[in-house]
Amino acid sequence: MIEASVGVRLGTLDLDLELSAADDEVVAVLGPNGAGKTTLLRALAGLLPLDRGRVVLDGVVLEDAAAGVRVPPEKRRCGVVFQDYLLFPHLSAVENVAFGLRSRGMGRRDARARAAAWLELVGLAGQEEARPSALSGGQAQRVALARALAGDPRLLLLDEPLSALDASSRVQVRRDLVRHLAAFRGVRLVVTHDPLEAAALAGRLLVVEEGRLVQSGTVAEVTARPRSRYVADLVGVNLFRGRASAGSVTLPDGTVIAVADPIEGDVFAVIHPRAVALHRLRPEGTPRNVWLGEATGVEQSGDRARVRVEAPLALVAEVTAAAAAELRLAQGGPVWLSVKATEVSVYPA
Amino acid sequence: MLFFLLPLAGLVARAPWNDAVGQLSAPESRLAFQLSLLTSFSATALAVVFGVPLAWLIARVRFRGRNVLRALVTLPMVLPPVVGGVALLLAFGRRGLLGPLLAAAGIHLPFTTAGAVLAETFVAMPFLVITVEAGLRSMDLRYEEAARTLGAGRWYLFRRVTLPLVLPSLLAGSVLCWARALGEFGATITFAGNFPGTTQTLPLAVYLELETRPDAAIMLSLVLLLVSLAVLVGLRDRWLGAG
Repeated sequence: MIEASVGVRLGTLDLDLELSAADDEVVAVLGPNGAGKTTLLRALAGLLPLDRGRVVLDGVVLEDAAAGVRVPPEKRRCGVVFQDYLLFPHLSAVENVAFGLRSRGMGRRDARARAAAWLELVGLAGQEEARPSALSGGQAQRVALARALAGDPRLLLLDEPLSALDASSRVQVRRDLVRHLAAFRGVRLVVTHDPLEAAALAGRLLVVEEGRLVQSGTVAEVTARPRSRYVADLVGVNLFRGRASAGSVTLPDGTVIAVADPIEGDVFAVIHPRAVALHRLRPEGTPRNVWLGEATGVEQSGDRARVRVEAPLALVAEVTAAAAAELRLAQGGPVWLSVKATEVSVYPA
Repeated sequence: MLFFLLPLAGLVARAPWNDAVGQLSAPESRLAFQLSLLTSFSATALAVVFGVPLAWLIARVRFRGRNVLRALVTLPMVLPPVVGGVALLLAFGRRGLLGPLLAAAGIHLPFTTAGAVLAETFVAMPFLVITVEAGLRSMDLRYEEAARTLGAGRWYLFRRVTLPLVLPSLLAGSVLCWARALGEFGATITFAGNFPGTTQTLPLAVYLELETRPDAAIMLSLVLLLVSLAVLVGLRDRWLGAG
């Protein structure tokens, strides 16, 4: 169980967030590049001193900026898998894994035997004497994992564990990683910018942007109710923020979206691209949100096309490729959008 | 180009090839050889023992006066060696700053083999310090961070990670340092004098023999030239290969 409030200023980054994670869950810290994810991980590992806040692991205070308490990284029981693994290039695979055991005083033979067992566990039996430069990306990742786990840590931190791998080995390595994460007893924190990776590895997400925690919850909760443009873009929906009152949401620029929800106050409004209908002529009938806009780009994937439209509000619409062709959207020009009020989901900001 | 080649050609052309072995195995030459090997390797060993911690200090520890220390370490590289010799005399000589102290301890440095080693170390150590410091600076510090998360304390970290990773620089620096120590002339002759068998190293012997036995001087010069060439070839990947 870890409870941390982390305040670190580093260049233009101002990291300030609280997090807690229990032993029975895998938590992913998800965010764009430069959000402060790696900084957070380094701070938890003790490689970067906190300016403010404290870190408590299993009831033991590892760091308390106000009280001047700071356990150095070598005394925290914290295993780290670094983004590019950082296997010691001058040591063989088994020596890399044995490093942490030896540094904590285990004898050479015992440490090697234990390290070899770890290598076998991660499926690298027979590669004991290989140098890191001779290992494939997937193998190096597994050595790094074995090295982090061999010291029997209480806290396991993984920084973009799959990003250095090519697509072909990623699936297999990810499957193995899920298995090893499940077998580990202790706090597991995975840092990633890849939502698929986060969803595959972790049960709970912490979304971090510009050093702040913007959203947390299960994968389903976060994707159902994005609270930032970043998450909305990951999920692929249109997100707006405004004030709701009497069945409509007013955006900061004055645009009004009609909604079916009787909610009041500061809200997020999400419109799924498939809920946006496009027409060349002004649509007749019931939709209460109708805007005139301009198609500025079409991306086709399979039999679907995603159309960017600049209207009073910028929207992405998803229509069939056939419809996009029929409407001649690729040529741009004026286009009518309509969205049913019942298709706009609204929740408090 | 010619300016650099011609002197070398002269050395090769005038070398007494038919009596090469004889000239080199003359007692004076052999004595100078043995002494030079002893002093240059001793100086290199001293430079490694003191220079590596010094390089680490300059590269890794932030402290007041760090730049002054770096400048001070580099000074012997640009200082005329003879001035270095005078300075050493004034520090460790009989009437030098530490003279009485050393005399009381029964240590006598000027005009001894130990003095020759000291002079060579003074002049050659900067090459080692600078090279190792550059190696430490260009090292990826994250390896050390990884080692710390794996429980490595300071000394273990230095021994198992820092030192092996900086080993190429240490080797290159040692070779440079050794070559410089082998060729040392000015500081040695000033501080240690020119006594065959105790302080007359190869360069000193060359200078002296040029008057009396020019053939021996040429052969000894050729040997020193070959050593320099070997060092150059040995380290070429470091200087030329990367470019």
